[in-house]
Order: sequence, then C-alpha cells, then structure tokens
Amino acid sequence: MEQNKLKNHSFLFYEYLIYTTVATISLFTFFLIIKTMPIPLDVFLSKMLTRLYIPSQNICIPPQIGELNIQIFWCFFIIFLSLTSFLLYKILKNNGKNVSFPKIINNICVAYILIIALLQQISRDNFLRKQFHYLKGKTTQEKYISIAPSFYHYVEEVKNLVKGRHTATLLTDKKQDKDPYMFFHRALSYYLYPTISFRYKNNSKEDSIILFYKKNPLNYIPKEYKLIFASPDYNFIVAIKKDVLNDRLD
Amino acid sequence: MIDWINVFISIFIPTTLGYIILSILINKKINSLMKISLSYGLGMGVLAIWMLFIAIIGLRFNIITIKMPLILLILSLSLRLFIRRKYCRPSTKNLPATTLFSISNVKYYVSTHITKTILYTILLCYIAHNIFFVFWQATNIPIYTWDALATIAFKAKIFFFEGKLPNLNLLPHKTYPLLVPFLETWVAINLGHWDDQLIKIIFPYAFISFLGIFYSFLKIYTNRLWALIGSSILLSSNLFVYHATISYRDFFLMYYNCSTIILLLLWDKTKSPSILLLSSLFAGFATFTKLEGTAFLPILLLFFLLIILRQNYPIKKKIKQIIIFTIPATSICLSYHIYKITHNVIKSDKTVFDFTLSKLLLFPHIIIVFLRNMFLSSNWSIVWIVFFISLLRLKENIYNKKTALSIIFVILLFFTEYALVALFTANYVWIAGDLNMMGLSRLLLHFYPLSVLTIILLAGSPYIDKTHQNNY
Repeated sequence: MEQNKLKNHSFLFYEYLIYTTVATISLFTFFLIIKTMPIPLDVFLSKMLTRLYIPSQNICIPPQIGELNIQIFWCFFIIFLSLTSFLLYKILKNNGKNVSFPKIINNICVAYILIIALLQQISRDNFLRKQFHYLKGKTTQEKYISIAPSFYHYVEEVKNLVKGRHTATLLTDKKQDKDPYMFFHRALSYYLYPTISFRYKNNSKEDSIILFYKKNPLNYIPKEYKLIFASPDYNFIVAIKKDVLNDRLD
Repeated sequence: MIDWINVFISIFIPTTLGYIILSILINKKINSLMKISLSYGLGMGVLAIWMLFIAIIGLRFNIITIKMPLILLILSLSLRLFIRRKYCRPSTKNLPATTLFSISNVKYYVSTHITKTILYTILLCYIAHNIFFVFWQATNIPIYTWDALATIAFKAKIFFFEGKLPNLNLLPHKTYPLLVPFLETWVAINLGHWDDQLIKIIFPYAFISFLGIFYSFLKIYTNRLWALIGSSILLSSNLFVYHATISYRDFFLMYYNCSTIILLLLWDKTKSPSILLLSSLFAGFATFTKLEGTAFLPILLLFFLLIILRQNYPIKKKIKQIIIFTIPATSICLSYHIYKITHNVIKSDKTVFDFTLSKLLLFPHIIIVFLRNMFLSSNWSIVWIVFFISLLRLKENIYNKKTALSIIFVILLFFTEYALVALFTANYVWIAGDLNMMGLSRLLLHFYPLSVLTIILLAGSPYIDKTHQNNY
C-alpha cells in the first residue's frame, strides 16, 4: 500500500516534471523562432489573430511570418506534440496504464486542431467585422462600386442611359485569355447583361458596339452608330445603331 | 422584408418536398436532424431535375411551370402520407417518445458534467459563429468571384431574364451541368427580380444542411461530444467555409458527393433499401452539379460494390440492390448528357485521355503538388496532417475500424482518379501545372469532409478488448 502510494507520488512528480520541461522547451523554441524573424512580437501576435483567414478566389493564402509559411509553424508543433505524446505514453505505460500511443497522439492532435480553429475564428471574426463596417448600409450597387473592378460605375451609367435590350460586339486590344482582362471581360459581360449582351448571343441581330481598352476607339464606331457613353479615359465606350435608337423613341 | 419572405419560400418549398418524400421513403429509420438536413439536398435536387424536364419539353421557367407543380406535388404527397400514417398508427405509437430539450435535464447535466458542459458550450458557440459568418457573407456580399461571374451566376441570370433554357451552344461553358444555375434561377423567380446577393441563399442553407448530415452521421458512430468535435474540425477548413459564401458549384458537389458516401455507410449499417435509393439520387444529383460528378459515379459504384460484396445476402437480393443504386443515379446522369448530345453540344477536349507512358514521370510531381496544397496552403488548417497521423490507429483493434477503412478506401480512389486525370488529360495544368492554384484546392474540397470523418471515427472510437471482441 505504502509502496503504491510512493509509486503514484513519483509518477505524478515525473509527469509534472516532464510537462514543465516540455512547456519550457516549447516556449523557449517559440521565442527563438520569433527572435530569428525580422518582426516584433506584437506584430507577430496581431498577424496570428487577424491573418489566418485570407480567402482569394480558389485558395486561402497562408500568412507569412517573416519568411516562414505559418503552416510550417503548425507542422513543427505537430512534431513537437508527437514527442510529447510519446513521452506521455511511456510514462503511462511504465505506470501500468492500458494506453496506446496512436490514441494519445490522435487525441492530442484533435485538441491541437481545435486550438488552431479557435485562433482562426478570431481572424474570421475580424474579417467579418471589417467587411461589416465597410459594407454597412450600402446598396448592392454601392457595394459593387467598392469591390468590383473600377469600370463598374460606368456600367451603372450605361444601364441608366440605355433603354431596352441590345446585343453587342466587344472590341478590345487586350488579350481575353489572360488576367486581369480575362476577368474584366467576364465581369463586364455579367454586369451589363441583360441591358447589353455580348457573351451570350440569343440569335438576335447585333445592334451595338462596346469598345473596351481599344486604341483610337472612335475610329471603330461606324457612321450608323451613335455614341451613347464614353468613359473619361475612353477605355470604355458604348455605341448603339441609330435606327434602333429611333425605333425605341417611336 | 418582402424579399426575405420570398427567399424563405424558395428554400421552404423544396425542403418541404424533400421532407415529405423522405417521410414516405424512410419514415423512422433516421433521426430528425438528419432527415431535415437531407430534405434540403433532396428537395433542391428534385427541383433542379424538374427544371431540366421543363427545359427539355420546351416550357418556360416561371411560377406556373415550376412552383405550382411542386406545390401540388407537396399537397398530394402530404395527403398520401397522412392517409398512410392514419392507417399505420399502431406501429408509430410503439416508438418511445424522445425529449429534445428539457430545462431540468439540462440543469442536471450541467451540474454533473461541468467540464463537458464547458466544452459543449465552446464548440456550439464556435459552430454558431461560423453559421452566422457564412450567412452574413453569402447574403451581404454581391457576386464578385471569377467562376460565378463567368459561368454559374451568369447562366442563372440568362435563364432568369430569358425565362427558359436557351440552346446550350449559345451559353458559355456549354457542357457544364446546371444544378446550381437552376437553383439560383429558382430563387430569382421567387424574388421576382435579380438580386446579386440573395440568389446566394442556397449556399448557406447547403452549409447548414451538410453540417446536420455530418453531425448526425458522427453521432451514430461515436457520441454527441465527438460529433460536435468533428463538426468543429470540419469548419476549421477556411476553404470549406469560404465556398459556402460564394457562388461556385464545388460546395454543392462536395455536399452531394460526401452525402452519398455517408448514406451508403448508413445503408450498410441499417440495410434499408430506401436509404440506398436516397444515396443513389444524391449520386445522380452530383452528376448534374459538375462534370466531376459524372467522374465520381464509378468511384461511388465501386464503393457500393465493395459494401455489397461484404454482405452475406443471396445473389437475388444483391442484384436487386445493385438495380436500386445504379438505375436512379445513372438515369439522372444520362438524362443531361443525352440532352447535350441531342443538342450537338460537343464534349470538351479536357476529357480526352492520352495514355502516353512517358507521362508517368510526372507522377511524383503530382503527389508533391497534392501534398503542398494539403499541408502548406491555409485551406485545410492541419486537418490533412492529422488525418495521416490518425492512420496510426488502424494498427489497433478499434470499434469503427471497418467504417474508417471504407472511407480511407474512397479517399484513395478520389486521389487516384484526380492523379490519373492530371497525368493523362489536358487537365494537368489545373491540377498540378502552372494553374494548380486555381483548380486543385477545389478538387480536394469535393472529398475533404471524408478526412474529418476518418479522424473522428478513429479518435472517438473505443478500443476493443480482445476478450470482449465478440460483443461488437
């Protein structure tokens, strides 16, 4: 009985000792890593709390801490946790407990994901708050002016000027198979539809021209077309056939 | 305000239809949360197929052609359900009543399990915050992402303003399946106008619905705590949450693909033919969501055959089950492909296989690109790393080993398929080439939840003492 008590006592003591050592080493290593980076601790912490959610089209970009991708940092801790799990397993095993190493490491890793998830959530919350303040009280059009490409407000003007529905030809000098103009082309098509349609042609006659980033654009407007809208830099011009306009007026 | 009521109607009608169909099909074999969650996917799938049917017979998309038949169907099925319940009352009476929420129960639980209660509260707050995040993002930020503007929402906008499905050859990306554009059109029809924010409402609901299916499934195999942990881990993926807020088709493909696998596993457990039928319908809806859905069909079929081979049923019953699974899924799949063929929509060059052996040299590079995305992008938190670590538990004799192994087998099939597609088709550039940043993350999303399922099934599984092995 007395021996068992002593055994338990020594087990607790060693357990405590190992956890403390592990925690100290982990903290020490953590600060060593930060020290090697050219950023102060407060900047590092603010990055950790605000930059863990950066979605960009098809990928979420991992924040860089100094030169280090944050994911490498997480991986480093997984290795570290594996070591901790192994030590814990050895201690428990030596003390006659029926445990398995895979179970310990699995459970520790699950706990680790949850900790990272909570950190990420602070970033998500910051992201949400920023967007909330930025977009609060705005109409869809006003939001688009904030987030869409700069030509969007011209699209709104065209939509107000043009009556009815038209099918257009788009003339541009920019390559439509490379970003950013490829994206601009698709976005313009989406925003202008159904007022002016150029990417979807429903077998109706083309009655308008859109000149988008075209050199000497006015040279491309035929006589039977009337210029309806031109942006100040002449990078976005809309012209519609005069007879169509007359028909609409009639 | 009126817009929100119309949005609610656009969700409510298909979900109710799904719920009634499920009630007729499955009745009491699955729990309420899973039933409601599945109702959304089923209802939306049926709606999309109905819209395809309307398009095929040349009718226009409007309230009369879409909404009215659905409402009539709901009413007639409800009547049938009511009559059936009326005459089958004795069997339902025998079921024990379950209390979902009782203050005295909660009080007792909190006082006796204080640590667990704290953990539950944290996890529930985490999940609730994410649900709010997804809802706000989806309904307050207008469509601005690449594929949405170029294809998905653009097509939906065309369908809405033209009031019909135009000749596919006139549309951008004419071969792409139309489930998501149809659903967005449906929301716009209910709204009565085009709204660049509210048409995305289908995504947060799909998010909640999938969360419900995922949680309910884990609760069957583990317990409430592990199911909550699993759901939280699922949400730890930035890409998963992000895709529930933008108008891409990948979230819906993930939804139908993973739900099919979950339903097949449930069918393996319950042996209910109606669950098998439901999984088949979901596999079919996946084919109508993205072209990858058709490529997934052989994988799902293989997975189904694996399960059926393990069962000790007579050959006649096995054939019947094969018919139940294959016919609905392939019918849905073929209906759209045949429609495309009859409208001279030629297949894309991307699907042409070029089996040059020298291409095998690219295999190590493909693996590296996969691993880089899984480990070093911020898409998946550390889920994939932990997934690989959790495989260590397969050495042990644990309760959920068989189920976990089945899921790992499917994950392997998905990886193999994508690796083969990258190796032997022009899709290499999107999967492992220069543009892998555009495509690969989305491809991994299609089966990402399976990795979380594996982690939780292995972590939350009790160790089987060899002396009591027969009890399981």
